Amino acid sequence: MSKVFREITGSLRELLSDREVVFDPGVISSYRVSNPIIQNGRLPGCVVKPGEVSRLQALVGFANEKGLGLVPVSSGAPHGKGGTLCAQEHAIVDLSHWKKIDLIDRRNRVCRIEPGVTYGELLAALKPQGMTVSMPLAPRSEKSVLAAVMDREPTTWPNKQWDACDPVGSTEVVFGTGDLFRTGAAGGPGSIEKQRSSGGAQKAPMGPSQTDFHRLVQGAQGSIGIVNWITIRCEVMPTRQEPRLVGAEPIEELIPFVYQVQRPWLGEHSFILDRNAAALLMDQGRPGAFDRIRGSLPRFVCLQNIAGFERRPQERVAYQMQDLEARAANNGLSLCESLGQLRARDLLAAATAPGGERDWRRGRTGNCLSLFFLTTLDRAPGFIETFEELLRKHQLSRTDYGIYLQPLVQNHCCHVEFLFPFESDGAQSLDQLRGFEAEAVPALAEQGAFFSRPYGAAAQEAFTRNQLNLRVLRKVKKIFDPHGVLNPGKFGL
Amino acid sequence: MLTQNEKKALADIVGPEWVCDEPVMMDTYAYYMNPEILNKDGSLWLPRPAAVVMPARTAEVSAVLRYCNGVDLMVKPLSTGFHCVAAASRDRVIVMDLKRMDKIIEIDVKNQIAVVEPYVKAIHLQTLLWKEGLNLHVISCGGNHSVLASATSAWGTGLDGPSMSYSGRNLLGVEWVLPTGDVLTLGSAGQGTGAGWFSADGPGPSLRGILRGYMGAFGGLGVFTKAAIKLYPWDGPREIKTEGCSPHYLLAEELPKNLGLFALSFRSAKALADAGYKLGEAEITYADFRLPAFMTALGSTDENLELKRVWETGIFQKVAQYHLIAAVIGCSQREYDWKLKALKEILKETGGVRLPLNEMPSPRFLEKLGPILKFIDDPLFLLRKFPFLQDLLHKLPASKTARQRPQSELFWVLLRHATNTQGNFRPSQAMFTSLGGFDTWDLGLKQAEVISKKKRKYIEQGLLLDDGGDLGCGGTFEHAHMGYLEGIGLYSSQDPRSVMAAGKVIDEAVDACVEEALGIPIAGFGKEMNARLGPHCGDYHRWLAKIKKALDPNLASDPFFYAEPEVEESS
Repeated sequence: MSKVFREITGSLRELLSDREVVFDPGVISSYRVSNPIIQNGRLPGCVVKPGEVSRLQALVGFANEKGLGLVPVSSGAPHGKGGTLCAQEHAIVDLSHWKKIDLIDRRNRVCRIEPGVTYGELLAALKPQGMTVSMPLAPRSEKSVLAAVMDREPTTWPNKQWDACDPVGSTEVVFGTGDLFRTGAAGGPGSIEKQRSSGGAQKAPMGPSQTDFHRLVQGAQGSIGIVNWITIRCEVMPTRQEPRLVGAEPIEELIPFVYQVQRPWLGEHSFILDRNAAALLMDQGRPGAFDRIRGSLPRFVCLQNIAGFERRPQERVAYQMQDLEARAANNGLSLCESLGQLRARDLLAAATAPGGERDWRRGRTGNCLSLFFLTTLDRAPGFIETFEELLRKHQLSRTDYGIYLQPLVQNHCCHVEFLFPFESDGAQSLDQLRGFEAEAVPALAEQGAFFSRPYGAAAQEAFTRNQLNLRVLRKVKKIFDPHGVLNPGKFGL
Repeated sequence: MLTQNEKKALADIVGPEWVCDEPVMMDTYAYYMNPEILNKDGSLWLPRPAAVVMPARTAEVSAVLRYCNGVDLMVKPLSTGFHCVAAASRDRVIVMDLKRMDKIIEIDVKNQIAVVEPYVKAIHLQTLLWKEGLNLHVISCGGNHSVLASATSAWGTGLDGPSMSYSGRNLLGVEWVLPTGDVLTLGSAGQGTGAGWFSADGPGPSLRGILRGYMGAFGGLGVFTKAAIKLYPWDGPREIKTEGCSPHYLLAEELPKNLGLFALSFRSAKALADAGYKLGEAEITYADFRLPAFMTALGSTDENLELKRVWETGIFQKVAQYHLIAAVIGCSQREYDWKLKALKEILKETGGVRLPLNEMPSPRFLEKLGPILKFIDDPLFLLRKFPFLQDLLHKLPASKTARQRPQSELFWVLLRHATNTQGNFRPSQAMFTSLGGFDTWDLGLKQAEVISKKKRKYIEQGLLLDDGGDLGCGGTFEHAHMGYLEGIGLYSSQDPRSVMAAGKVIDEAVDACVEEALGIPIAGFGKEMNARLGPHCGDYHRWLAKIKKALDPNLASDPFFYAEPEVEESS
């Protein structure tokens, strides 16, 4: 830590209380990015835990004055993807203790949450109101809901996602300037209370007026603003669920079925895993479970949930089941309650609940190289082929990697994720994996993979491909964070 | 007017036949909807542009903007136009008429994406899409609007909101000629690999955040030359055959059994609100619209005298005060049957009535019925009390010809968007709209109530047309996750006092938005309104001014309806 930085962080004590600034090396080290593939990050100099939004604003003001870099964090450790990675000296702004859920509005299907609320906490709060949220596939237990949705993480309920920014409603954000701003319907006029008394619920994400600033903050990995609350679009909780599995050997057999189901919004949760990814998700630390599940499955498995809600649930499930069965039969497929050692009900339960402390991708081996991007579902087979060629070229196993395909935005695009779990002392060296990633990312991008949420090697690749986009983003960053105090250096902004 | 050098420079870019500064032609670009309300002096004319240029391709758009960066001219893009926001704001503005850019670049049927140029009209695209079992969101001004303009630049509410969202949320990609002339393609289509037009967000932060917001920048931040639009399923007829002639084009064939059109009547605003939420939550409605009583009467008649006579019967005020028209479509007959059952259940819970559409009552019949119903508080009481009677009424035999008109009228309005805003001009030749904050269905209905009260005193003074006050128009969005209504009023553009009254209602509505926290009104954009509303909304106008300055350093895009740089200085 440089002397200047030590002096700056030291003077934080004049601004914030002792409880709000932490210099304990043990605490600081828990913010280390726990992914051995990722290099170049440095540990924060200190951790700041502001007590409320006015303190957060004061902190950002201080950072502007002194040139202190701030990296916001809302999830608990371990931090694996590298969003908090910062090559410059910086302080972590940890908001994971902000846990308020101060609105649950059943009529408008919306709630308001602070950054530290996890999926487990939110689901528990919504359940008595008969509501739930669309969520990522088995998020780790300490994953912040706000962090996930502000990163446009894929969710498993595609027909409930109308726009890439969903399920975010309104937000309140502290920009890099220190200004507090509300986006969406919350933007005003009037206080939140006054808006609610007029029938508003801060549900709409657009606005105020000719602005849509939540979209700038989303995907920015904390480099444009620090969000201190959001409203989240909720869904009615299914009262009856009949999940089914559809198996196929080549992925091409499955894809037409998914298109035919997704277009008319039949069914509910839906995703595709290959047998490795399914076994990784369902392994859950049980001895032998991974091999047993993997060995019993066809190459690809599609989970398709069929549900009824509060109104005529049984009849809804019945007609949807018939419509889905017809489409499956039309494609030479069948809907199954279980495939091999995998029961649809168990897979749905695992997918729609928080997982363990570690992300499911890392659960078995401790580490996972994860490459993900957006494309359209029909192009997924081409990417699988390319990925396998690259594995062959780098002499990496082609039988141990996993695939997760997630239709998004009502199946207008698809999240493709390749998972390569590894042990730190395993057969592949870290350099070998880094070399593989460095070659795989541009090769996939060249084929049309869109790294919309760029992490690791993808960050540089994604931005160099559209230089004008980067130049405009830099101008925009300059407006909202003129001194570059928020996640400095992120994306080269 | 242009100088000879300026005209030559523009002609060198687009070709001499595509540059015009003839006064007679310029006047045709200076007349739009509602000018007398926008102009402080009540004038019917907006500023005459310096010239009109008609580029044919993106490179020409870019070159014109680059040229304007070096001179004191500004560009105002125009696609289909309609409202005053399509006009030049001052005389040194060139209107860039994009009529020649009218190509549908691509329809990706499988992934439900259409890529279009600025002058592709919704009605045209819809005709092609229906053949593929697809549809697109069409805004409530009617099917002749530019698909690109509503997705990138201007508002975006429409009657198909329950199943097809809001224009700004349907943008999957965009080619954007920045005010500097640089051509920026956002998202997946912008990385130069042919990735496809499936996402406009990213990498990282999404520049959609500054592109349009709720309202749109109305051409104040450059020109959009291509847009990728999200498409939706269509399980209705692949094509339609019509018969008859104006004003009664009729569906020549029966609608398929998996498609139903309904006129639903509720006893109170609360019941209407509850039904809207319940219908949305059960994902029943494909399209919906709160059709005020006066507009129901308007749609039932062919001319104004007839309208006056039926309105004076008082029947519409009793039967259609809280009226929702809706389309229900199933992807299979099974789905439709389930939806119909659920719809009936919801009507039972909310006291709603499916009005019989076996035959459209004639004005003459209504005039005879009026005196009889005068003393009956709720003419639909029996139908509410005994819902099975609704089924009986619907099953009453009616000839194909009798059923044709009500079914056709609803089809045109809800699904073909053929007789929407334009119809409002018939009674008084001019309409205004106000409020229009976008959030929940409850907030929408609250706005209808507020604007109704604001209008009443002017109606009593005879300055606004007596439409009963409540012309709150709108519907639900994304299965009632959101809702919207705006408050319409009808005035005379020929009577200065009436024009002034309309202006006052709009002005009072803006005050109400602030005082009662009703959201940003539909007119809440541009220099004057942003300066008025911004201080109540996080000073958003300051941010707009900074964005304008950063992206348009030489003021090459007409800033009037977005943000003038001087706003920043005064703040």
